[in-house]
Amino acid sequence: MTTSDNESTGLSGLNRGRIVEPAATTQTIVSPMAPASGDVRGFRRGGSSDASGSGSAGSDGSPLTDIVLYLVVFLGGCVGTAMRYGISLAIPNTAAQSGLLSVFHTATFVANMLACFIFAWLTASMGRARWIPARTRELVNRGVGMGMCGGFSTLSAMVIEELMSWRGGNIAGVAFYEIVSFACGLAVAYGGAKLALAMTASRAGAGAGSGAGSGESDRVAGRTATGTGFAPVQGLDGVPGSVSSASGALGTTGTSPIAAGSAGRMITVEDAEAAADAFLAANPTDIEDNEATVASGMAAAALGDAHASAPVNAPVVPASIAPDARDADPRSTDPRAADARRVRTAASTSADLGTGAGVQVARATADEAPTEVFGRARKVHHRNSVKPPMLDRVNADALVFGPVSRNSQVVEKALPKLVFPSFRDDDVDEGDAAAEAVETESETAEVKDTVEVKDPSATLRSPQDDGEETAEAGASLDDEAGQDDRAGLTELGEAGQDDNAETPEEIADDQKTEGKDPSTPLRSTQDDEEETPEQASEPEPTVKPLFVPNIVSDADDDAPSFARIITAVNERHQDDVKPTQRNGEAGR
Amino acid sequence: MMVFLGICACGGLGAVARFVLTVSIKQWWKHPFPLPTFIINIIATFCAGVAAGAYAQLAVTHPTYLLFVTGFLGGFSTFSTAINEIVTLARKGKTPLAAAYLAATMLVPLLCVTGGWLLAGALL
Repeated sequence: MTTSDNESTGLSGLNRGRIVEPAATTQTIVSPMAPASGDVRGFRRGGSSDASGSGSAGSDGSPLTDIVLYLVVFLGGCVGTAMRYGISLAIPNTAAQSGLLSVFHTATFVANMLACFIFAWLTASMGRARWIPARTRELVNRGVGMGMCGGFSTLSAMVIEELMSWRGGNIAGVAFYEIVSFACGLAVAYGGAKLALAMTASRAGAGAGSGAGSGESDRVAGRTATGTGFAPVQGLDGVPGSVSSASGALGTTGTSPIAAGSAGRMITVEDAEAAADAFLAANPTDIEDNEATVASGMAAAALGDAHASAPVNAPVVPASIAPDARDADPRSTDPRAADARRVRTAASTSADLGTGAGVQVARATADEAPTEVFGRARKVHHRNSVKPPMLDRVNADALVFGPVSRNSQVVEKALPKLVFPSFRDDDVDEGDAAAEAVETESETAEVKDTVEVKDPSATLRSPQDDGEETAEAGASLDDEAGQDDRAGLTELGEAGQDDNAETPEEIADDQKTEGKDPSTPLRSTQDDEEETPEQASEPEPTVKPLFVPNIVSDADDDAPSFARIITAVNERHQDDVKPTQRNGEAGR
Repeated sequence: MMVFLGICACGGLGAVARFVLTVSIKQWWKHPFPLPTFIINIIATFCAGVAAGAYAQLAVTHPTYLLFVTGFLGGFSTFSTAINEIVTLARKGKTPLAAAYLAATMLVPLLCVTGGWLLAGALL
C-alpha cells in the first residue's frame, strides 16, 4: 500500500518543516483536492509575504515616503555631479580644435561611458545578488545607480555641446558625436551587464542552495510535505486559530478524514514518528482499507495521534474545541451521535497520550479562537483493532461532524464525509467506542450507520431531515459552531446547546457552502427521532469523513476568508468526490 | 570652491528631482516604455536649451549657468539610465521598443534643446 509512502512523506515533511500543520500533512494523500489546496496556498502565501515584506522598511511602501532614499539619492547625485564636473575640469578641451572631432567633448563622453558601465553593472548585479539584503540592494541601487550614475552622466550637457556645434555648422560632427556616444554607451552598458551576470553567476548558484532563508525553506518543506502543495502554516503558527485551522479544514475536506488541527502547535519529528508508529501498530487493517484511512493515519501521525487505534469509525475527530463540549449525547440513538462519541473518545485518547497535541491545543485555544480550532479527525476501522486503553477516556472533546459525502451510496464506497464540529461535551464511553461504523449515504445524506448508540439516554438529537441536511450542509456549519459554547463557538450559533438534544446532527451529507444560511442554525435539535440506528452494529465504517472546521458560520462577517476557503473547498470537493473515491479504491 | 560645492549640491537636488519624478510617473505608467526617463530628459534638455540661450544672451552669469546646467540639469538628466533602459529592453527581446526608444532619445533631446534655445532667444 501507499501507507509507508504516505507515512514517510508525512514524516519527512515534518522533518523538514519544523512546524507542519497536520492538515497539510494529510493533504498529501488527497490529490483531488489539489486545486483547493492551491487556493489555500495562495491565501497563505499572501499572508506570509505580507508579514515578511514588512521586514524591509520602505520596500513595500512608496519610495517617496522613505526619507533615506532621498538622502542616498541626493548624496549620490552630489558625488556624481562632482565627478563629472571634475572630469570636465581635468579634460577641458574637445578631442580636436577643429574638424569633425571638435564637437567631441572627451570629458562628457568619458563620464557618460563610465556611468553607463557602472550603472549597467550595478543594476545587473543587484538584480541577481539575492544574498544581499533587499534593503541594502535598494539603497545601493538608488544611491549609486540613480543618484551617482545619474548625476555622473548627463544628457543635457551633451545636447548643449551638440547644439553649439550645430550652430557652428559642424553638423557631421554632431551626428558623429551623437552616434558614437549612444553606440559606445550601449556597448559599454551591455558589457557591464554581462560582466555582472558572469560575476554573480557562481555566487548566485551557490547562494541558491544555501542562501534560502529559513522561512523560505520552511515553506518549501511544508509544500513538500503536503505533496499537493498545501500551504504550510508555519507563518501562522502560534496563532491558534486562524489560518492554520482553515487550512486544516481544507485538508479535511479532501478525501481523507483528516483531522485538522493543531492550532499552531509545534510538532516535533519525534512526536510524529511516535504517533505514526502507534498508529501503524494499532491499525494494521486500517491501512489496508483505503487510502483515505492512510491519509488519516498520516494526519494522525502528524498530530501525534496515538488515538489512531481508537475504534472510531466515525470519521472525523475534529479538534476538540472545548474539552467539555458534549455534543454527542451518549444516550442518543443517533448513529451520528455515536460517531461523535467515538470521535471524542479518540480525541481524548490522543490527548491522553499527549500526542494529541492538536486536540489539546485546540482546547486551550478554544476560548481564544473558538471557531477556528480544529481537532483532527480520524477514521478508524474498528473491526480488528483492539480497543486501546485510552479509548475509555471520555473527556475528549472532539467535535463530530456528520458524514457529508454526497455521492456515496454504499458504505464501502461512501465518500468521505464532511464533518462539522459539534461541540458536545459528552464523554465517550467505552461502549461508545465500540460503536463502529458510520455510514453515509447518498446525498440526501442520512447517516445510516452502524454506530450503535449505547446510551440509553440517547435522545435523538441529531437528526434533521435528510433533505434539510443536504440542502443546508453549509448551514450545518453554522449550526454546529453555534452549538457549543464550550467550544467557544457560542457566538456563532444561536442554537444553544442542549447537550442532550443535539448531536452532531450536522452531518451534512452535502456540504454545500450555500447552505450557510443563518436561518438554519437551530435545525439540529429538531428532528431527532427520525434517524434510526438501523445499522448500529455494523462493524465497519467505510465512510471517511471530511472534516470541516467549525470555522466561521458566516462568511460575510466573522471570518470571510475562512468561509470563502471552506466554500471553495466544498465546492471542489463535490466535484472531486467521485474521483477521489476511485483513487482510493484503486490504491487499495 | 563654493561654485564647485554649489554644483555638487545642485547635482544632488537634480538627482532627487529625478528620483521623485521617476517614482511618481512609474506609479501610473505601467507600459514597458521607459517614459519617466524620457520625460525627464526632455525636460532637462529643453531647460538646458533655454539656459544656454539665456547664457548666450548674457542674461545669466557663468556661475549661475554652471549651477543650473552643469549642476542641476546634469544631475537631473541622465544618459546612463536611458542607455541601460535601452539595453534592458533589447535583452528582454523587445527590440522594436528598444529601437524606438533609442531613436527618440537621440533625436528628441536635440529638438528640445534647439527649441529651448530658440525660445530663450525669442524672449530675450
